[in-house]
Amino acid sequence: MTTTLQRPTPPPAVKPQHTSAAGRTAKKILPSGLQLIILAVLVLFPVGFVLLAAFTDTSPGPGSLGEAAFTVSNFKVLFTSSALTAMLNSALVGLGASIVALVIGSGMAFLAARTNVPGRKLIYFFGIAPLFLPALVGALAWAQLGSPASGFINVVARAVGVPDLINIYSFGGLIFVLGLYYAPYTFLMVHSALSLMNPDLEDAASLHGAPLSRMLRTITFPLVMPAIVGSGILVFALTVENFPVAQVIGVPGQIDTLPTLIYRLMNASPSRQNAAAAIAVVLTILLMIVVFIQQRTVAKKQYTTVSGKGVRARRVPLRQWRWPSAVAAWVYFLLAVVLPIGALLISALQTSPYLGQLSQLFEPGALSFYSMGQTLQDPDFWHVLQNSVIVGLGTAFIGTALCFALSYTRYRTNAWGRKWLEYIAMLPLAIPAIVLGLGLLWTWLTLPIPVYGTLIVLVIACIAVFIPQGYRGVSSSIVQLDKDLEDSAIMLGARRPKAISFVTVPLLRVGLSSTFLLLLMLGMRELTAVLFLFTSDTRLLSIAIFDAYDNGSFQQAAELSLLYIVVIGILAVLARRLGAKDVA
Amino acid sequence: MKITLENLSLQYSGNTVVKELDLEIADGESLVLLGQSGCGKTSTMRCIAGLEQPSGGRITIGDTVVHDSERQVSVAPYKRNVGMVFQSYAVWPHRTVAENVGFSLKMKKVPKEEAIKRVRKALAVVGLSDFETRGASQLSGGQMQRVALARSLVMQPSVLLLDEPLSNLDARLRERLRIELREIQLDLNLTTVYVTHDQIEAFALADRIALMQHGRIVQIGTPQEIYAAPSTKSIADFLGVGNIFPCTVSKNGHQHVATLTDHPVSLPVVDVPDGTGPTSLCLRAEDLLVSKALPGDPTGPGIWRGHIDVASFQGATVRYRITLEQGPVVEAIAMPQAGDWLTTGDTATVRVSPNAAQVLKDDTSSPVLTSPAAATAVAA
Repeated sequence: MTTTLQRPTPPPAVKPQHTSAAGRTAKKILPSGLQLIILAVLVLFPVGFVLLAAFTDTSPGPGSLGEAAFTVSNFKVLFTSSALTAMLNSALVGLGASIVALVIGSGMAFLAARTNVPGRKLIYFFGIAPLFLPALVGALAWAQLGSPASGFINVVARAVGVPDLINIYSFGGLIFVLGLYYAPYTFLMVHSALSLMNPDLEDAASLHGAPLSRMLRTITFPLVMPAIVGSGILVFALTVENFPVAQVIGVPGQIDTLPTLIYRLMNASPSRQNAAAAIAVVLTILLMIVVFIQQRTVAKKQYTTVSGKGVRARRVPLRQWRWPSAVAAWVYFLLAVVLPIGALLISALQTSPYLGQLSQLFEPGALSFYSMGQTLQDPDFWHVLQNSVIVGLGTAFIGTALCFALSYTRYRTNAWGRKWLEYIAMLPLAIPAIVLGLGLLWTWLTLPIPVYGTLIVLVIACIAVFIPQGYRGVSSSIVQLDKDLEDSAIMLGARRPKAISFVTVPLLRVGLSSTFLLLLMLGMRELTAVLFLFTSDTRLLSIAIFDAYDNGSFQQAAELSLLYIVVIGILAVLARRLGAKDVA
Repeated sequence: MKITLENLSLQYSGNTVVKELDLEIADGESLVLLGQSGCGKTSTMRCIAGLEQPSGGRITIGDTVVHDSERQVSVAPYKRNVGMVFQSYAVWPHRTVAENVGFSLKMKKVPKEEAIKRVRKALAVVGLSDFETRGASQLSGGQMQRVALARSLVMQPSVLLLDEPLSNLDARLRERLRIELREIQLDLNLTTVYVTHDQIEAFALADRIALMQHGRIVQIGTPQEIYAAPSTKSIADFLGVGNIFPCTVSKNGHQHVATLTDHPVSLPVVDVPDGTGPTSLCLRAEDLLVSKALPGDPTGPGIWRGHIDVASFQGATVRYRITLEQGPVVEAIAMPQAGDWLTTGDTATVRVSPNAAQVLKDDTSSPVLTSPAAATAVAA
């Protein structure tokens, strides 16, 4: 330390900046103001239009605003028997499905996180694998497995002499399918609570003389209870607003839920848009209450996940239950993934559209790739796939950029109204996708911006629905990044945008790229939000599948579903690859 | 370059963190802002850097007014040519050492060859010559701190700000870097503002120390002045004066005598604070001389007999806790010769060094601990 630097030379004289008061105010309000406007158009306008439609006698559209007259008569629809039944059905289905999901999800989470079950890692995979099967596809597959006359399971059962084994088009069936495909949400939340729990807490109980069973009862389960309850309420919210499963499984069995009722009212002729809006308002209020309770429960959860480093949770020896519990986990995987994909394969490859007896399958020429090949050569299929990819990428790019801007403004500036940005960005969590889709339809029909009928409006819809997920992804990584890292670049002479691009964005690349991939996956799978917005030219894969099913072409729906799974599977693998590289 | 703060105030959402602060720092001076967390020292520094917008007052660096609330003047932080070393180092982990250090030169568009030369020079100053191409994430804490320092030095800043730069390092490294920092500062004759809550660090690095409490400077002076004469009880307590007792002062001829409020102990003192209000008697642990009590030892004002509760060996010194016969419990630090230190249970004679006792104004309501309000106020 003997070398000497030269005496600092005086810097060039700096001109003091005189900024007017108005200029300062504008500078402070502009960035957050702009973002608030974007969010308002994305989220608040649709909500406003739904309210407008619910309380007036004309459906929103260009030029209809002037003649709208206030009325509450739309809400009369609530007291019709179909609406009351739908409401009751929604509540019961939600309740049943969340119980099923809770039992499956937390049971598997406990097995995978804290026991000596054989093949523990595989069971973790089983726990999350159904996430890669969109609920729409799962529902279609189960419709083919469990329909009363020609469902594959019934065909097999008949072959061994048991007629009418199951009817999936029933209350139980609907609850079963929803529970099956929403169990991974419970699984993930409970698993992370169980494996992040500070093992010292449990060790302390053991050291003070508690036997294993008592430790589990008095320490472990109470600590994961908020995660279990929180995930249960989340699944309730998600299943109540779920449209595809209810439409595919519930409607053929004459079970209407609120989302399917909205869809039916919209597609009635003449379309009963105001009544649909009234039901949408009720469904939204219901969901808002549930989400509010869920957020409160999860907020309390924080004390369970306090530790961080070197966590090695204890394993519970299952003794004689080791193999039975492993088998139970395998059965779940069989029901949620293997059977459905098998059913889709058979439907896609079948040459005769109707399967009356099991033996038919083994006749020569019963299965063929011919039809699948036809689909792959169909330019229409490629067009639809291209649309899906464009919408997915658009959602991911724009959504990630928007969510970064929102999180940055919220957590790194003292801009005016920054807390409101967060509230509005998280709002879509409490708005059912079908309601948001409805509102977006009316918004973009009315606004004098010609995007309706293009892919852009589908991108807008996907962003609106998934802002909360994207925002949470980016903001959770931005709050973990030390603010000084960026400020030090400022002190060294960089302007703010340069500091952001040189320091903050590169350091957030893991968080940003995983948010990008999450939005890409979600955007590619979404059906409900875009249901009212597509045109014949802008159909997506999810819509094509739904259309094929709606037109009664199970075979085409199955083919498209399989291709859809392949596309999503490729994306998932890519996501893991990129994610792994970023972590290294 | 000299820095002038006039009437500086800073508010965070209604909380006043810095209150009407005036401070002048001379060219080439090393000023340490010393205080507990939440006292406003880091906020004051961030105002100088331009990372916080003061709600009132004026900041001048050299001859340039960089902030004036009244005239709505505010120079952007990246134009102030102020170097800053952050507590967290803020070394960019995704860049190499050379890229980190050379960043400001890139911003100033210094030609490449000259930039390389200056980066090498700065790395030589901090003793990291062979580390140029090393990724910054592979460095140890001490090395990161050196990179952060080199990165600020290479821009030839008008002023260097250091925000608790050594607090994340282990004790030995901290001592070494402290001396190196002081050496570099003196070598370059760099005006520095150094924020810390560690009095030892402040004493070692400062030309002058400004002691802050609740957003205000409560005492300013050279390290020697501050050490010798803390101006209030809370400052004495913060500076680690071990023995503080509430007392009353009376006059015995020309001689002031302090009497402890809770115990029958009196001591002649030289200076007493002006005015009324509660006072405290402060005695540094190192100003109490402890020896084994001998039968003939006298007792009286400033010479007490006591019973050793705890003797804790600290290497060069031994720290004793002693209950005096009159009741008070005192802390004393002794440097005994090998073998002659006392153990728990021994009886000891405690002598106060001449003129070591100070009577200070008691500016806190709680007896010994400083008010918790200081700790819970907005983080520094």
